[in-house]
Amino acid sequence: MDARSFLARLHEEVAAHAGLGHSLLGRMETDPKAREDFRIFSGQHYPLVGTFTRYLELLLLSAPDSQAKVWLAKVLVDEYGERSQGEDHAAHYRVFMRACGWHDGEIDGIALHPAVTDFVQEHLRLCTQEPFLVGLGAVGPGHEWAIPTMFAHIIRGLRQAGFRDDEIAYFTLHTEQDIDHGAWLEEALGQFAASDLEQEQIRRGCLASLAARERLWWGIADKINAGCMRARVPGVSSATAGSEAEELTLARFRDRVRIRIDLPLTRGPATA
Amino acid sequence: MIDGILMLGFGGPTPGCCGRRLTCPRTPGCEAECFVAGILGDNPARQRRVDEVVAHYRRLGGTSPYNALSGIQTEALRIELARNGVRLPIACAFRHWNPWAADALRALKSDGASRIGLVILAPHQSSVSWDWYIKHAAEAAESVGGIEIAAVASPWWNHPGFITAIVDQLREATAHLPRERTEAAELVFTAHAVPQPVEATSFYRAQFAETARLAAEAFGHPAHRIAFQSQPSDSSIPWSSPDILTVVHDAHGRGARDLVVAAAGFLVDHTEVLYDLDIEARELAESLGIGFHRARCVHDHPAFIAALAERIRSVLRPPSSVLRQ
Repeated sequence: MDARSFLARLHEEVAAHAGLGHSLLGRMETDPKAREDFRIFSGQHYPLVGTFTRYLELLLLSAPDSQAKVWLAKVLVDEYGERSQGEDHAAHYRVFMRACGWHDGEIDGIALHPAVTDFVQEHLRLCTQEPFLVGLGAVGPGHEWAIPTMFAHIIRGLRQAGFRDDEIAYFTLHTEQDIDHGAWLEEALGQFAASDLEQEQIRRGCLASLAARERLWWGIADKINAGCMRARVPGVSSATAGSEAEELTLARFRDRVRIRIDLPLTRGPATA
Repeated sequence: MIDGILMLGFGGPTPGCCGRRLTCPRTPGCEAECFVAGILGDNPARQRRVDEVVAHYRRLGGTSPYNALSGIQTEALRIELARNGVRLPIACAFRHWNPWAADALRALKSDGASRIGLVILAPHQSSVSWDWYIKHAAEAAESVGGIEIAAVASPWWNHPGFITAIVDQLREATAHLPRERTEAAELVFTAHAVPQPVEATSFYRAQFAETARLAAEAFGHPAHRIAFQSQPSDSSIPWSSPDILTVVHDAHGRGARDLVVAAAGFLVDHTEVLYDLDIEARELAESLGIGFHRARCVHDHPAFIAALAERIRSVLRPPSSVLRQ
């Protein structure tokens, strides 16, 4: 299959993936979310936002040539805040978290659903332990093609819940930038997706990322249902009672994660 | 102390537009699509799955008997409670179809109730089969105002009345079989599959396994298997396993002649039971030369209704919050 046909087919596969189509996202109108729902949502989503640049930075180390590095670097520059008034995406997200009712000092202590920590671990693995194109498939099509669709649902739900535009700028900015990133990526992938092996690696990374995403949404839904139930009807035991004892807080997770990289000094054609 | 009862179940489509879905085509027969899209979400990414499940409903007439059967359970519970001197307004509502929880709570409020005892129409606890219902009912009460969810009836997965009801249905399903065939049959209990991230944090699987074990022992057929059903075909992640179709294949591999199946995770014979078991699993079993004998769900079996009534009576005594057994 030529690169163009492969990419078209992959686009279709991403668009029809249950990771994008999770009911948590698609039910924003028939099952509107309240601020409390988004408070819990944000506490679980934040660790992803805070580590996305790390995936790209790690992937940059194994990028095979300058063209790949340029694409990753262009996205990274946005993530660092180039088109966001100098604030990185994590800083933007904390604005949203404050609007949800979190204080900065609470964030490190949030207990994370295993699907959240698994998502981060899986992407660190994909970007360090797999061939470059697998990692690119995960952070590229698996993220940049998926996020605008997912965030459109979330933004709809946020507005219904009464959030102001300045409170949800992370989502609106990110959507605009990811549309750009997706277009840049399309160009880069056109060069990389020539052989069957390359296409297989890109697709494998993309689908692994989306599967982690589907697990993540279920994990966040699990947290929202349990947390809101406890808050609204105190004294009634949650179906998840006891499970939090085994969960890591963001601070503990950050302390535990160790990234192992095994790279030669140079990649690609021998340099002089 | 409670002064009204809300039974809250998953629900199924009944004739007539639900009026909830903004994108509803408002065409005759829209019910199944609105119902399924209402669950999975209005999202092009799920359209294939929506179409697939809608086809199941349409094959069975386009609507579901779920709500009517839950109504029968509600009426049976009202009578059972009255027989025990408990006369409270009682209403039934659904998570995914009308009557909605807020409407039912409004009706209860107009009957003078303000402190509601909630009965969740699902036997096993997970965040999507327990917490979500309580959250939903509490939010509905808040939207109505002047009424609250004051207590939640304990789950009943291991209640002797629930087990007795399952066993009676198993006996009825196997009454036509020679005894030696029933003894030689593979006994399988099914529940709805839940996604791994939900199963991992809950007692759902353990509770279901206990229901199955207790029912199998009481049926005099302690050897049994558990299986899960109705997992979405488009999911990319593991759900509870093994799937019922895998269990049917395995039974064939073991040379089984008959399968006796009880959908112990469900309370009424609604579409997921009628399609996923009575059509899909049955067709597979019969194509493999295996007899497929499904027990009815517990419905309004007197022992089950008495178990629910007992749970309600326990929340009539303060303190009003009732925890797991």
